[in-house]
Amino acid sequence: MSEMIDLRDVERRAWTLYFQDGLWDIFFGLLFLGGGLRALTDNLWFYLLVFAGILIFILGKRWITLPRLGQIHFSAGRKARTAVVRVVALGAMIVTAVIFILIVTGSDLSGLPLNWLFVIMVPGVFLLMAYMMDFTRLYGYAILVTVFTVLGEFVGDPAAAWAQIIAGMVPLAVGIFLLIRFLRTYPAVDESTLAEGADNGRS
Amino acid sequence: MAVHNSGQEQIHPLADLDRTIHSPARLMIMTNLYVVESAEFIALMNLTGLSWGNLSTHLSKLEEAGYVEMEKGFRGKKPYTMVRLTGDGRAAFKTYKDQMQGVLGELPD
Repeated sequence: MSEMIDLRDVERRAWTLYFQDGLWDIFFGLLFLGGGLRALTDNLWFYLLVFAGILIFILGKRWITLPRLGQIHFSAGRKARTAVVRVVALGAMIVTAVIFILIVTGSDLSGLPLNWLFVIMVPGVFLLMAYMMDFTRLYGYAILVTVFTVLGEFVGDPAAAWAQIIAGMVPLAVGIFLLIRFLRTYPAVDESTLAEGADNGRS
Repeated sequence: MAVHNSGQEQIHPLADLDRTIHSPARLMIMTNLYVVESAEFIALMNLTGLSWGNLSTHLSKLEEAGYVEMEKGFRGKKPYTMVRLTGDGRAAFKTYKDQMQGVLGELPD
């Protein structure tokens, strides 16, 4: 049995290597920060921070992480866990979008416990992501999300907006720190350069 | 390999260990490949801590034994090599794991 645990540990170590780049943290940081600043100032331009977060994440994985860590195709079990996270996150986004559309179009939703729905759903998605993705830091971010979601639903702005801004600064700072450390730890390499280096070393 | 002991012929489980796998570097490579579908050469370097030359040498031995297969490709203009265990490699690692578990599992603390 201990052998099995070791192999799981080896797989988990390979998997979590990809969380060392800090890009998820930067993404969540900008997501929270953008939402919080928009809520505080009512300025829609702050949503650009959210788009910046998405852009940094996608481009960073392609141009920073991949050349440094290389690619690993994980087992079917790991892919299934990731698929569950995607489906649940997509489901939560659809539910939020539907409620938003219903509110904007003037539907009467006063009879529905929407406060509780969001207080349970939003941190729930983060907790599920943390568990299914073996992403330990996300448990901490789930606590931050819970705080500003509860404030948002039961207290309102500006307290909730400030809580969300502060909650955004935490993962953003962690992400920047991790990214700098990642860049120092893992230099960008390509196989042709390595092969040339090895050949020169032999001659 | 048969080991004679007190006149009785015994088959010692350690003697049957696969020597191709039973080297620290190749064991690290096989273990890391066993838990994933495939991994890029650079990823294996990061996971095992082996240098390019070392990893290349050990992978060649594993490839000769039919335990791994390598596929070269290009990402943009940059070359990369994906490495995966073959069916034989997976079976050989499983056998090795069971043998080691059998031997070490019965040792007293």
